[in-house]
Amino acid sequence: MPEVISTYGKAVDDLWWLIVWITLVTFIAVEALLIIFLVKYRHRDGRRASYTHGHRGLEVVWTVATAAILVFIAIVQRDTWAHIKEELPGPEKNPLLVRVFGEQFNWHFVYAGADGKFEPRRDEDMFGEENPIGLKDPKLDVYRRALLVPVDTPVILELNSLAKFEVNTGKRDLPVLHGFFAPNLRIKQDLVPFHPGKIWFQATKTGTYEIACAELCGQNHYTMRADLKIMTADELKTALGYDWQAARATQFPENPK
Amino acid sequence: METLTTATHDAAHGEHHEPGIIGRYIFSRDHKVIGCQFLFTSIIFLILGGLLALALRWRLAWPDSPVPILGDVTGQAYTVLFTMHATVMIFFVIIPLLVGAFGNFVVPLHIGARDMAFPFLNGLSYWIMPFAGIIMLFGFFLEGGAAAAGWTSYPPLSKIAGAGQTCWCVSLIIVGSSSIMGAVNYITTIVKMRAPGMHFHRMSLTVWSIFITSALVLFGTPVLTSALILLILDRELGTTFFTHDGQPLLWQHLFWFYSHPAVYIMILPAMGMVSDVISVFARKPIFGYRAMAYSMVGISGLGYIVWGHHMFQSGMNPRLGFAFMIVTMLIALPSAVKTFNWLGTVWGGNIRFTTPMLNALAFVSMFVIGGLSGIFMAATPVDIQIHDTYFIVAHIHYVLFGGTLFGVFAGIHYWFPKMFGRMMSETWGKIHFLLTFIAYNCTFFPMHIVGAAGMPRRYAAHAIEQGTTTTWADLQPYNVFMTIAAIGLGIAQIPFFVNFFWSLAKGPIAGMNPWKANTLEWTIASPPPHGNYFPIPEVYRGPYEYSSPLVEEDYLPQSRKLDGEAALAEARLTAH
Repeated sequence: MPEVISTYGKAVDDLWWLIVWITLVTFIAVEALLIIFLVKYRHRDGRRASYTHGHRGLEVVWTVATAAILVFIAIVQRDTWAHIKEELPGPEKNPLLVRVFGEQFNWHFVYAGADGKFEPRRDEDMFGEENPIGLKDPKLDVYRRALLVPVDTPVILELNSLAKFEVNTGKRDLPVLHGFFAPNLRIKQDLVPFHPGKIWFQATKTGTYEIACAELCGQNHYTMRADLKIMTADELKTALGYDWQAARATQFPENPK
Repeated sequence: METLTTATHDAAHGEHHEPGIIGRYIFSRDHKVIGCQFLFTSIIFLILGGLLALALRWRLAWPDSPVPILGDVTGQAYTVLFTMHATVMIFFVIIPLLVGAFGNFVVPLHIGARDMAFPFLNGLSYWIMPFAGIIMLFGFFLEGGAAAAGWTSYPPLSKIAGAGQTCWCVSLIIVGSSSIMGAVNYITTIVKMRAPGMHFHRMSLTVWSIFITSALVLFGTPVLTSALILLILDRELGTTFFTHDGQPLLWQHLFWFYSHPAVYIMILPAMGMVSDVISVFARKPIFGYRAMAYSMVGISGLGYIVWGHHMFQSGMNPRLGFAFMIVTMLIALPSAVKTFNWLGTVWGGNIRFTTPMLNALAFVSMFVIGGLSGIFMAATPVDIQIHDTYFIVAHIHYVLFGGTLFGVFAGIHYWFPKMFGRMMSETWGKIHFLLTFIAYNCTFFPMHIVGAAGMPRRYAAHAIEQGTTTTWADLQPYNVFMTIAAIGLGIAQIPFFVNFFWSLAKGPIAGMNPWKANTLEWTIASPPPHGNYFPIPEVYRGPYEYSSPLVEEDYLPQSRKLDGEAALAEARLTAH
């Protein structure tokens, strides 16, 4: 498991190690028994195998015990899963909102800008380098090719999939699935075309990490990467060019269908 | 009832005319010939699928040097490679091998029937499969190449993919139809055509497994077929079932509703065969026969309600995660019970390490790894990290190669004498086993490690430098190691093929019952004549009466009638 840099990452890793230990013990026990039996009961002349069809008590015991362990493993996952995927930090925690756009084969990140409001976007306005996202007024939002986030602050991402714009033909294809994957944050979720989703995280450490696409999106899927740059609040202010703490967006825009 | 069954059975197969050479070996209606046709066809596809795998492994290890023969592999070519590798292996190798080849060959023999219930349908189910293969491979010659949206073909990517994708859909509809025809045939045959005395609880676990698998095929495949038709409509007629106002996730639900049970279609028959082989060579009855049979029923039942575990990170409502996690954890239970019962079967045995037995034991020990690694991805928070990484690739290969393919090797070595009347070489069989076992583990075990590090699957290269981050570049030595091991794994198959074809012509004559096994097929000639049993045998006991105290030998065939003291003793034993 790579380095953990999110608040909930440690919980995920603890669950991972719990399962590692349970399965490792089971694995060693089963394989050891198998090898012992194979050696001990190998064929020798004049020996006869013991004639038995099973043992009811033994079978009941191992069935019930295994079921109990499996249900236990499932139940201990519950809270961590709910914490990561079912809940979003509320407005009282002052989360930073960032819109994420996945396109074959690039990542785009949009911040609300000094007006504290996200611009709606339309496919018709999407044009090449100047306005890759298709924002109504691109100057009012801040656009970056890397995801810049503050340390120790909750961040909510809105996940959108964008159609690829073919400069040669002037046409737009269909948007496809992508997967937002930041291994160090322990977060992964698909970007579903036509149905934006939301995820959140809170980073615990500054530095530069990796964002990758985890859902097959075409021939250059493997090149679809971006940097995740975690910085202090002041550094982020400089990097974004506006006071993100003062002009905080509280909601994502409604986009016309 | 039993007499009636036998009577219809005789009427259906009593008047067999002698067919000519084409009727006998090509458009045959004999289940044994059709089984062997499936076997040979899927072996050809196995070689193709294996070569595709080696090409993609080459690209992963050495992205900058051209693949031998194929030349440069671009990102597009790489997506074609892994899509076609998986599609070929799943739909043209594993399923036809297990269900088509072994199901066909073994089921009528094991239940004491003269043939399948619908011999013509059986032939048809084979003969539409090569066409499906041709349509699938035709995609390679179209603009844009063969299908390249992964074997899961998630839209919208599969909607905008090249024409090869339509070939893929059409081909799978045909393969699916072949499966459905087979399933109807197996279920009917097993329900209606068992020999007198062959109660359900006297059937071998191979027959049980094919029976349950057929039920899975019958109820699951039509769902995939419908989804494929919707996808073709989306592609060709511009409907929007999976885009715009439709739902990309709808495909995933439909696809996995079939494809998760399909994973069990791809393992249950191997479990059945391995159970038979282990019992024969441990010279001991199966431990917990009923638990073995019912756990397969349990797997198939639960198999229908766990599909959502493929979609934990898909954007599906996360609240569904917990329910799918619980049932997914529980489906590990019947598998665990089976593993314990295999252990119980070898415990106290008198084990003969023949080639089939070695492969069957490899199945058990590798399936343990594949089963346990499943718990990681069933656990929703842990799955966040390992979803769509090499951990999943490791898991599926431990189940389908470490499990199913070793089961298939066990089955081939075990039934080869009955299929062709000759023995395979034990020495070369063991060499093949040992090399395969080592190379296989070197190829796939490291995938757990790189998967835990988050290395994504379906990447044409991992060690690229983009921006300042190169998370997986350090893991490149693993990629090189796995590729070298994979090439070794490919080379390790040469002794198998040489042994197979050499033994076909030159192997020592097998005789009726070379393994001293109990099931009915070993009481007739090898290979059995068209029509198998003359007369239909009477069955007196279950298939696993090894080392029975009633007889001097350590086996007691199902159709051997005991008399005198022994018969009374047997009646007392079964009364318990």
